[in-house]
Amino acid sequence: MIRLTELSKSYGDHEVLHGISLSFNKGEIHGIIGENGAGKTTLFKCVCGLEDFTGKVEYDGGVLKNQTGFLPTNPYYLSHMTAMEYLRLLCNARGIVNKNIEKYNLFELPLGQYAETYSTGTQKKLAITGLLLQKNEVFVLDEPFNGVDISSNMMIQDILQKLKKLNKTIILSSHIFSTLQDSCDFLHYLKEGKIKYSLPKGSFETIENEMKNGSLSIDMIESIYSPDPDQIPGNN
Amino acid sequence: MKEYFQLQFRRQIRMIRGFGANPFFGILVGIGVFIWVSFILFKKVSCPQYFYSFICLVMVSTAGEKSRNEFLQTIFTNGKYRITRLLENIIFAIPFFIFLLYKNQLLIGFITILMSSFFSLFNSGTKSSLVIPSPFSKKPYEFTVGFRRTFWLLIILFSVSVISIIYHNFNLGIFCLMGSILVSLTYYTGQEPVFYVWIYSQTPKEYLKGKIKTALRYSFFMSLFIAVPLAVFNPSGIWVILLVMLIGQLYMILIVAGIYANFPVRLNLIQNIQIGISILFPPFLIFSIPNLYSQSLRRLNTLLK
Repeated sequence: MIRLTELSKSYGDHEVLHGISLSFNKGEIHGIIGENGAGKTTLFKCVCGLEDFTGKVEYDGGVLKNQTGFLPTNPYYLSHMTAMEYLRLLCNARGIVNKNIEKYNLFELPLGQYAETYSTGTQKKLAITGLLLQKNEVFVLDEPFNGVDISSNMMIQDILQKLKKLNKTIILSSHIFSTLQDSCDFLHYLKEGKIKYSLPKGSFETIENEMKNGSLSIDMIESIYSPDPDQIPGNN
Repeated sequence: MKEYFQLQFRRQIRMIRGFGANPFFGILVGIGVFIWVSFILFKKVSCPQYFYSFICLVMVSTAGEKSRNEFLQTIFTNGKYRITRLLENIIFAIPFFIFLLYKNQLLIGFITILMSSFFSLFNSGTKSSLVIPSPFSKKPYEFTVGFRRTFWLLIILFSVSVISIIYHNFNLGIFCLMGSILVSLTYYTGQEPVFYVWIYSQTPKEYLKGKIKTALRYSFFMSLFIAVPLAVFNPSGIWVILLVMLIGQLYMILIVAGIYANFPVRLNLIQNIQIGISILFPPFLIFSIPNLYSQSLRRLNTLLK
């Protein structure tokens, strides 16, 4: 079990996360949902130990960082490194000797190519393959469905369910509410750095309704296109 | 366009501040170091004007980085983009041009400016899908990636070392050996993204030791291709070869131990000066290696537990 107690994070004077307390059990899929800038990525980085914070992150299965696979929103690939070498690097980093990496090429990726030349979705699939090969116990996935095609999207959902059955802990974020609704056992709504709702499957409507209440300043768009000369680009 | 250059100036000032230095002092130190290095180059290198011009063009080519230029193309009209690139390249080349003029190398100076202007028409860093085989791909990544970036340079160095053996020019051979060590050192000049450190399930000590061990083993392997033939054909110079290799290995330790000394932020001014002094005055390595090593351990402690 992972337990977050009063986790807070600030960048200078700006407090991004305020006293987050949550727990994630084995064999559960937790979704974190919130607007852009709500603090989801920061929360994930704090859980993984990529950012320092105040409060506590406790894990009862040893050193959390060493058993956690983190999928960043945009996985970063070094230039001149093939996908195969990337996977090997991830395995080496955890002391895992895997001589049959090709055998576990779930998404049938061209592993001999440079990873940085992959498309956004393919890069994401490569990163997910790497996390699986690391035999992680905990998966922290920041927008795993972002940029992937429909069939891979479904495949990732299947992988999540399989991992759940294998008793792994999964924490993920997404902006696609329906995907989260299908995949997650719990949904946590993060607003302005605080958990506003934490709800189990079957009662996600509260969050859905809350999210629909956002307003868009349509008038602003009209004013951008107004004939006011001060606003015409290149007119100064 | 004026705003763009003002913004670039502000960025440079912020970068100097990021180094922990006062901007005015930083600019003065920068100018001083540039003049000092220029003088040293003209004193120590044969045909320095060509080498100097080459360095300038290498630096100018960094302005042609693809993603940066794609961004510029999206914000400027085509004409303004071309003028911006041209001005940027000329601004990069002007300090070199002035020094070349000072050294009465008017023609080379003008050629340098012309070439720099010409370079504004091209972008560098285009992603290539051609995979170059690397002997280091079993243990990614610095040497795997670095070898692919610099294999052409290694081929040149090896070829020149063969020429040095044929023409009995031992000094040229030693220069090539030093070149191969320098190439290995460049693999560690940039910091990797935090993620690539975080993934390791090692303590900071294990991590740093592993990095140093890999760097030493692979750089030694790479220099062997020049060192062995050179030693075989110049048995009397074997001690010089061994000394160069030993200092090279110490430099490797210095760079790998030092690169994390301010991680994930780039090295600060004092750390850079420390490395600079150690390279120019190797006995200083006795102090700088343990010092930077312990600083790196401290910085890695937050990421690796």
